[in-house]
Amino acid sequence: MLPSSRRSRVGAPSDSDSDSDPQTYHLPLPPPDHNPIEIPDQNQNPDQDRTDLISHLPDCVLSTIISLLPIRDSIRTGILSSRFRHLWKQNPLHLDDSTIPRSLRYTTSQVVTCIATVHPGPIHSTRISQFDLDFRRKLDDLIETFTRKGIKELSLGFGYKGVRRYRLPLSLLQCQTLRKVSLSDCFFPPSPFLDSSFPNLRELTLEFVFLWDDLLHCLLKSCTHLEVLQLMNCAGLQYLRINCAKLQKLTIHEEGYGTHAKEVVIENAPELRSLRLGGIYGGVHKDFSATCEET
Amino acid sequence: MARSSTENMITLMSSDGEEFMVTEKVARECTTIRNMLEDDCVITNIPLPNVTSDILSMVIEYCMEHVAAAEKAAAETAEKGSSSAPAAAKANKDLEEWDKAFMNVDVYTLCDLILAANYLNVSGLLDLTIQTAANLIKGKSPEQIRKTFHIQNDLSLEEEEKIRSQTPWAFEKSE
Repeated sequence: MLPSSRRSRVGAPSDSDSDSDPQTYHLPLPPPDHNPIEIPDQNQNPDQDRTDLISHLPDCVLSTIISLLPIRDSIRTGILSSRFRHLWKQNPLHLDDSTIPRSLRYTTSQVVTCIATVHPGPIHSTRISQFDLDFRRKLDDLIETFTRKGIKELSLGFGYKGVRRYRLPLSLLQCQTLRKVSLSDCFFPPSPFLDSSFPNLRELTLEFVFLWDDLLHCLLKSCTHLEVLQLMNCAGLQYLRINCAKLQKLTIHEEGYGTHAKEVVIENAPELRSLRLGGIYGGVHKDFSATCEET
Repeated sequence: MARSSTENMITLMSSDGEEFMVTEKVARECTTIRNMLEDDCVITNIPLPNVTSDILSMVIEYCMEHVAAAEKAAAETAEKGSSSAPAAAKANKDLEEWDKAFMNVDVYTLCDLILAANYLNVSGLLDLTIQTAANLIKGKSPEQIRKTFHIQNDLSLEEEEKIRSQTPWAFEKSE
């Protein structure tokens, strides 16, 4: 059944007299900006401009509408009127650079930097996949801006799969707000700089990141809240010792890039529920997975 | 919609004094009313001083349709033990089609429905109307959006220029 005509009355009219009924409940009135809106009578004033109804909606409703728009559209609402000017900035920023339309005059790197600078924060999540690594210094500054504005989720990758890698800045490693990080085509600074890195991280995915045993052990020691760890094609690991009190899920997948992990020992991971080791070794597909029952 | 005679009826009164009798189940779709009923279960009359009769009848129509759809799905599940996936998918699609047709309204009605859904806290209707408003904005130029919603631009040329210069790429003509 499709909606009936707008004027039809739904429900039967009631006979009760609400004025004298003790069971009448008076709903508290909302704040003044919720007051009923007078719609001008079209028949009386056919030429008069109709009221700007959308601007009468409460801020929280308007900013929810704006949060549903692609980033470019949401920023453009800032020019509609003074009422809209700052509304798009009231939503936490979710930025995915692959959704930014190509511009003739500006690179994606410039556009991302511009949005992160103009938005007051918090920056909730960011996915960077189109940044030009010729401007590493600018990326360092951008990441510094993210961490200053409380970023919770970051995905960083460059898609080179070759020799060019991005060295992760210390500001990122020391970020207190990060909960979920996915890094591709990057490398870490030497182990001494990894003390107290990612102190509140819950999920870490590394892909095409050169690692070595010591470095991973340092990371695990420092990420005391880590629950999920995924290592995809991270060459350089040999003898892994997993000590991670909160770790629930561990995945290691390698497809013949560089050396492979020869041994993985779960020394101390009382919460571990899912373990998956897989990949292609010498052209042979090998897969091992285990689900740990509570002991 | 079949209505059981034992079911508790509630009268909702619009700002212009019209009264609408609905089942408690339908009224409970509005979280604001549900919370009230949980505090005091003998309420039978609820004045809604900032919802007009036109808009209230639409809100009730939406709630009745969604209650009926949920009841139908529950009945099918009870009958067959578990709901069959294709039937559930079809029922969902039908309800989506109904929602889509329900949203075929002018922007004034849409804005009033958003206000009412927000005030009465009907989360499904609020999501639906807000998404509809976002769809009307998406991909349009600021001039087109102002025209659609009759937004009065009160920014000076200098202010507009300042906003454009902060994020110039967002206002480029070419896409």
